[in-house]
Amino acid sequence: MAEDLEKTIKKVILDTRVEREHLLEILWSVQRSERKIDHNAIKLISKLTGISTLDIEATASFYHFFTEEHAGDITIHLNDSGTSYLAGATEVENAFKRELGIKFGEVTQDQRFGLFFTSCIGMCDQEPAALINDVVFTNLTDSKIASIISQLKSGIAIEKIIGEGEGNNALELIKSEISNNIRNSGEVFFNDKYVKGEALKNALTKSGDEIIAEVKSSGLRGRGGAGFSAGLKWEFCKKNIGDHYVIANIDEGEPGTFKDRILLTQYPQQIFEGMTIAALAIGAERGIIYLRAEYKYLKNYLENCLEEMRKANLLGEKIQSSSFNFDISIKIGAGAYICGEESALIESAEGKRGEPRNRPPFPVEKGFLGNPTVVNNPETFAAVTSIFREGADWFAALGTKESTGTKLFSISGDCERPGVYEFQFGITVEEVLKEVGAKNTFAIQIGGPSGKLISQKFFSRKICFEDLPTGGALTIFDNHRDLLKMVKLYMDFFVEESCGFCIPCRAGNVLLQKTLTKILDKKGTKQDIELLQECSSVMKIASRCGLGLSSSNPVTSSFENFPEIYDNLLSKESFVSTFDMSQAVAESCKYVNRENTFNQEGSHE
Amino acid sequence: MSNEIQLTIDGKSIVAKLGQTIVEAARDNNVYIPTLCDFKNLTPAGTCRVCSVKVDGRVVVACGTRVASGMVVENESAEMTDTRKAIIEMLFVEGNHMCPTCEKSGNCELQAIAYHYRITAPRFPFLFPKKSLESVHPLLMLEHNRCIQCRRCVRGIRTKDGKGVFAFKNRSNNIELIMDKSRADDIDDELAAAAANICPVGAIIKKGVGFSTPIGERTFDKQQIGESYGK
Repeated sequence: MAEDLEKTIKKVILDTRVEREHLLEILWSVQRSERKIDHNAIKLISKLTGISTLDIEATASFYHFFTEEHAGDITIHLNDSGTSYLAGATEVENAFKRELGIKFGEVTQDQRFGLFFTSCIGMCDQEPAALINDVVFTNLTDSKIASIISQLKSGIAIEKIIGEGEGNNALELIKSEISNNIRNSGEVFFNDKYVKGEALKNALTKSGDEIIAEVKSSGLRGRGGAGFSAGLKWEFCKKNIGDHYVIANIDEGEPGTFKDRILLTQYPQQIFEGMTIAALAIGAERGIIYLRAEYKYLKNYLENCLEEMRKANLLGEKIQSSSFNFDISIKIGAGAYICGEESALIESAEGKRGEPRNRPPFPVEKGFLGNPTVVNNPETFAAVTSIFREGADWFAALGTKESTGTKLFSISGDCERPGVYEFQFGITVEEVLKEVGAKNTFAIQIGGPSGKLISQKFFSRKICFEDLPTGGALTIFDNHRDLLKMVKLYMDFFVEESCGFCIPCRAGNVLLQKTLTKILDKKGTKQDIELLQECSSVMKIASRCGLGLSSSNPVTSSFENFPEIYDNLLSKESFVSTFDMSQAVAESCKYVNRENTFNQEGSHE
Repeated sequence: MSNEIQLTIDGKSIVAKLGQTIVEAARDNNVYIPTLCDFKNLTPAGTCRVCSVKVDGRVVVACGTRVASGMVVENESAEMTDTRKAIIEMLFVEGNHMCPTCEKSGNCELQAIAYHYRITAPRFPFLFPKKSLESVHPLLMLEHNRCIQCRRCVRGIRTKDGKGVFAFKNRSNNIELIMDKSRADDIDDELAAAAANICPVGAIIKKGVGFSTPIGERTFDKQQIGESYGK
């Protein structure tokens, strides 16, 4: 056993050379083969790599998919995000428990199955969805789970039980049952105008400064949500001295967001070509795709796409017979939303805990391994490819003055046609709702949990950086949904995903979550509302990174736009006891084998 | 070119050296900005946020922000004081801090800062997390109930060959201090004392010496934290 493990680790070390940045890869190899990373494995990795056990334990324990205890030969991760519940995750949750005879967070006695929850896996348009040993299962129902589990129990391979996927998902290299759900066509992404290499060949005729000038004149802003000028970012990066890097941030973890998955499935070459143009502009020789672990099913396919581009001399040495060398490698995350924050992503790519860095210095100054680094969203890179094919003026003419071009939208929740849409910036919320077939819409979570929960009075507003900014996720709720429960689910998410480095975020999210639970239990008073507000305000000003600065948004925006969902549940009393006598004595009653004779109000019956 | 610049803290004009952080500049100028995770000669971490100040309208941590010419720093304004108190209260409610029975009482910086701000009860409900007391070494105990995750020990405690001894595992509210037990032999009496001393609270405890200085004769029994400033 130990010898096998040593062989497994050595193979990774041999493949990647022993460098700190490959620690996650080594940990993955252990988790995959041993189904856990226990102290013995950590000692062995330490012996073989020279990284201290302390450091390895600190790193491994940061990531959701690495477990100290055995996670089952077959590990099931059910997505427990808000959209999953809208689609009926509770029924699915019960079906898993029934079929396996265990609760979530447990492993069957024979260690064959492990059952766990996980944060959004990027399948919001086909929920409920789960990962079973990295294989994605979508549109889960009670009967589908019964069938999956019985087949797995009879020893059929996981890959053999999935249904057929749509588009490239059906390819041998991907083979997933996922649907793309591309719902319209568009000027920049969703069309067949892309010709491999055309944009790069154009870019190769220009100098780095000319490329940057062109990106700047196109007005392209980063598609991750913050909307920083892509050209400006490249310009800052180019100015700094070192081995420049280009990184595509594909840690698409914001619940409700899944558009990068579609770009990766159908148009990966456009992302890679955009990265190559960025590298040409800033003088980078190495690019990294940081892919979230949930999208690992795409890895072989993406590797193959990269290989084809190398064969076409669009990557590698002396690209298109120029003096320009550039290549891209793929790094896989291990389950941490915070790694979508660019400095946390860099830490993770370096094989460390995914904790955001103090800024300044910014990644464009000191990024990957201390070198100047451009981190952009894959949609940004894909847009660059279109810009160098059709021209900056063409791109700038699309959208609005401050938000040029088109945007990919991930639409889920209560509508007839959930999926991915390409719209020009400046489209109104109302127009989007009409396109997607949303009726009786009561509220929309725009931009995911870290965005805002908006009411009907926002529906005539334009979606763009100068009006309603968003990274493109719209989760729609119609008028029969329990909004406060959704807000609470969003807070559950942030409690799980905070890195825990700074106090406002580490304690604040828990305080918000507990207070919301109290209100939902009808034990909340006016004081609890004040508590929510005070806690949110501290988080919004004193947190260290974007997660803590924005994670109270579901609470503050729902309170601002839907005060009635709180008021309706508040007790009219100024004080409600949260102490429950019957609950307090429950455990001791169990031990002394006595009947619990306290009722809910705390008096003897 | 002179490397001295001018800035103001709460309206008071001070002179600082270029490259200094706001905390360092304040200290040199006898202005008290409370800190917990900041420690002399260590790279600033920014975990505790207690030194949050407003600079030109934006809230930043004074320990991790370098001074600039003409900078306007708001330190003890009503708004920043309240924010700071809220942060300190968060530190109290996320752990289990029982001052009367704590070996560090009187030498504890968290307790001292709470006294400084006259905090009697936190505005937030106690979270009462389940945490443990762990004997990690013949000379050391980790009292996780009291750890404020400032990381002073992570940054400041190294063995003679320069290797770190402490780290944090897990994330979010499950984050927990760990010690490298494989390096137990490298931790001598001196290093164990240094670890207990670098801890601002009573989370790293050196065995056998908890009450060697009687309560009433400890650092903050004699002088309030920050009291030496501004005189």
